[in-house]
Amino acid sequence: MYVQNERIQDERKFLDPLVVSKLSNLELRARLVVEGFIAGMHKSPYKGFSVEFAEHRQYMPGDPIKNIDWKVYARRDRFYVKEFEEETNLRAYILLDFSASMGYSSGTGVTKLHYACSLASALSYLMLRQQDSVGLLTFTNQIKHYIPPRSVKGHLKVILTELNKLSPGETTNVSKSLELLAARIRRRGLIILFSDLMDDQTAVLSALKHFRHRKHEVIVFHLLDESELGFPFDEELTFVDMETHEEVVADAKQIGARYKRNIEKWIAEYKRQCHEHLVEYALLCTSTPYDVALTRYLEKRARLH
Amino acid sequence: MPILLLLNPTFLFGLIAVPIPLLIHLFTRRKARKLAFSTVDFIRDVAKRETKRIRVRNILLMTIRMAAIATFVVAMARPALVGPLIRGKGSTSAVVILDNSASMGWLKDGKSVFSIAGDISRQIFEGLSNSDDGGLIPICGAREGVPEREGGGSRGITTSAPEGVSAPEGVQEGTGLVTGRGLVAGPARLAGMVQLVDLSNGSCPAQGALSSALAFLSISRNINKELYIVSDFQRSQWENVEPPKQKGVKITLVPLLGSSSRASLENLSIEKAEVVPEVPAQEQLLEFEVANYGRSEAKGVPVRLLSEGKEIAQKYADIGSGSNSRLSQRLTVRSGGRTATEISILLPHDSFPLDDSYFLALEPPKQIGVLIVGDERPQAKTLGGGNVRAAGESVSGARDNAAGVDFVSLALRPSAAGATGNLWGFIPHRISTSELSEGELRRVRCVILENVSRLSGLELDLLAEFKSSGGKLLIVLGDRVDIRYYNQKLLPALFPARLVGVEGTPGERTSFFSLIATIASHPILRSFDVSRGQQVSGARFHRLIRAEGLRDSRVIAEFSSGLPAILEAKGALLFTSSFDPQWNDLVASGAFLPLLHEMLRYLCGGGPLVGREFHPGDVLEEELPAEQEASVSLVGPSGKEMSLSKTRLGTSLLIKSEPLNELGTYRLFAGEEELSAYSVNMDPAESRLEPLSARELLKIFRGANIVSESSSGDLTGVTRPGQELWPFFLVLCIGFLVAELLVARSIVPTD
Repeated sequence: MYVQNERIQDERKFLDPLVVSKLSNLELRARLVVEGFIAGMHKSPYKGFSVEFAEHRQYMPGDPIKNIDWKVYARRDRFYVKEFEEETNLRAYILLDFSASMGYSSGTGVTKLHYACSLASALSYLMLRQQDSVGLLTFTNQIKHYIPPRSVKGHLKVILTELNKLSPGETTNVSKSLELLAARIRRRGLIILFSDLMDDQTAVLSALKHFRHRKHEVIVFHLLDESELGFPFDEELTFVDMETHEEVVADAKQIGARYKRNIEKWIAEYKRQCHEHLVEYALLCTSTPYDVALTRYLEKRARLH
Repeated sequence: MPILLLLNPTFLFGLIAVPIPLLIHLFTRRKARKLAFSTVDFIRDVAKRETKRIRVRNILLMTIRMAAIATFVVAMARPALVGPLIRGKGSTSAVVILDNSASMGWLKDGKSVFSIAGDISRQIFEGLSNSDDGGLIPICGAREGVPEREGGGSRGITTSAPEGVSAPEGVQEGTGLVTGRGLVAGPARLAGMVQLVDLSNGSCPAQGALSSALAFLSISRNINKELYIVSDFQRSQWENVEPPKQKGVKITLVPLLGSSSRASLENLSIEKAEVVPEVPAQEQLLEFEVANYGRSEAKGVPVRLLSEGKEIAQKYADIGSGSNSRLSQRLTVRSGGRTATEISILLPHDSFPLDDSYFLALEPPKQIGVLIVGDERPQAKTLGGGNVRAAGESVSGARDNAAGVDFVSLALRPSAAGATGNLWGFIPHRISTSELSEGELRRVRCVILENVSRLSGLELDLLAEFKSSGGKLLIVLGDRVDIRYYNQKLLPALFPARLVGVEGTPGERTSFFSLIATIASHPILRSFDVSRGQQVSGARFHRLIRAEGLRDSRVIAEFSSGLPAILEAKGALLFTSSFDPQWNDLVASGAFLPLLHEMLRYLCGGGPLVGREFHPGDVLEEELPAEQEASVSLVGPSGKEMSLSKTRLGTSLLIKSEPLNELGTYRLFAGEEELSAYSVNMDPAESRLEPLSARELLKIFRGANIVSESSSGDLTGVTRPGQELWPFFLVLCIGFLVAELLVARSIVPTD
């Protein structure tokens, strides 16, 4: 028990973004996050989810022999094959915002982009492991790169390679990217958005509603830094917008309370509207352990099937 | 209309500190650190509103801080409101100038005006409250001074101790009639100080007291500053006073000599007295003047003359109002006496008793044996080489007549005088160098070497011995002087000097030198009443011998060329010209007699007919031979020994007495021997009691109040309104500080 718990603790540490961020290899990061997550699954309330296969069915001639579950045969003396989730044909689109604001970090070293990439790579790893198709669309104020969803071996590498190349810059236009993607994809799928949503709130929400209208499932991972939420500053500062370079001088101590109220209001609006339109919304801080995001994904996947 | 005063205006310099909060704010404002942030959308609007609010708050803070500093500075400057509508009793500094000059001694209904003035001064002080302060300044004894600031103990004007004041315990020397703390607090103490001031016998100018009083008031920090002058405002004392320029001082004049007083004033005074020598020499004539300052004629006024307190004569004078009467009395000279005789001239006492007596110190004529040593009886000169005789020198005109005349002996003894004594006090005896002997020298105190060419070794030794035993020597040069011999032998033995050569050409009369005073205060030159560098007499000197004084000698008079004329060494004088009419016309000038007499009197004693006269408050200064330092003393009229300061000046001694205040005769002694006597009489100016009119007073003291003696009781009930405002400003300052604290702490942003 002790050993097992220790092992669980060791693997849970890879859910800590600070720990994971120390790993430079994105694939490794992804793997460790997932395995840490899976190890934690034994204690998680989401027991019963399987990430390896969806269900058993009786063997039919022509089924690949490799899919026969020999354990079941040993128990029941009958041939059953594992039906993998690939057979559910879940197509997931990871939308990742790498505008300049995503490069913000409050000094911990984990930028929002870094967090997003780690999470995106972990999710990709998880999904591909479950035989789901995963695509990637990166954007700033326009779509920068699009990788269509695939589930073949080696696709993870493609995604990770692209994620590795990302460097924050330019301004944001979330709604535009969402609208473009919405127009592009026909098959129903799962849209996973990683962004700080520092954009026209109405336009973003409108785009998200558009996806819903087209029967897509949407998960919005709203990424913010701790300092963007807590505003821990207490001196007079010249705040420089990372995207527009606009400068605003303010006494942080004087404006802190009101800032927090405003941002909370802003977040609450996102939450409310997303809830209203059945968009899965998760507010993630760059210090939030990755399992929260992963769990959300799994919940959503389960609802889909 | 109330007037705003600042009692401590110097503090207003502190207003320089008012902009400090603004400067601190401007210079310490740091540029805000830049911070890259994901978006400024949530900050922008919030910041705009907050920035405005913060700016208002900062402006308010700075304003409050500057106001706190300003109100504190103003409070320290002690603002005060004065005026008829102001309630509250204003603090007061009152200084009284009390006239204690001699003229205040005149009597009014049997009481001296000075004591009336003292009563009025006391009344003024008794009208003050316990929180007020003041000072008392007597006119006689006050000196101008500079007020000192408090701190280190002394805050007041440094003046000398006033005349006529017996300083009580606690009154510091050198601070005048106030304690070391400047103005004195408390009416009782101030009133008590009045009795410390005595009536002076002197005449004192009022300017010093006025300047002191204004200086005292200038350092006062009270609302009301008052100056009272209680005086007879005698014209001679006050007419030249400079009008005070100080603002904010209320001046009240209390003249004590009103028109009614003037009408009843009867005053006779002795104006001056002198003694004139007469022939026969045994008698002297005393002449004096009696002045009548009263409004009515004085007839048959008895004037008593006393000698050493014994009446020797009584005269009767009729003196018209406003005029003088001259009287005289012959005095018999007591020959052989060694001390001065005090002659007193007395009038009957009237309203002003101080000027009813006059004193003279009649000096006994001292007979001094003077030995005049010359080569031979004066005769026509023959010329030759080796000494100052020049070839071709001729004697002409009156000068031929003058040849052979013993001018020195004639100058020392009047022609009608007997051999044993005369009024001039000298018994001259002329001999030739060959007749010089110890016996001759033993009989005299003074030797004049006149135009001696050479002395034998024995003669020179005799003179050197004479000099070293205390004998005195006057060396007069002339045409017979052998310069080389003098430099080699005579001068080294008798006088520290060196002869260089003759100035002037024989027979040359067109150019000349004049005799100039070098040490004008020297007793030899004092009677000539000249200043340093001024011509002693009109005598013209055509020839002289250039001499250089060596160590231990000094030049008393010089010629207009700068060459020494009279040199002094210990026990000897050197005159570098001659008493020969060929060399100069000194012997024919009026300066010869007094110059020769004074030289001999200085060397050998002797003196004038009458001792020097002084006024009360004067200081006696005398130059005496240095050897008298240990034994010299000065005794006053009542027998009291006066204190003397003594300063050694080479071969002589300078003595200076304390101020001579008592009227009468003073005697100077060296041991038991009386050297000289002096008299102190009241300054005649004090007898002229005529005061300044009210109009004249108001011209000097613009805006002053004049309170008559009969209304002086009103001075105690003077109202002195005023209200200090510093507590109000201090409270305001505290209020600003509290407000600053509250505003500085208000960091909660408004919605």
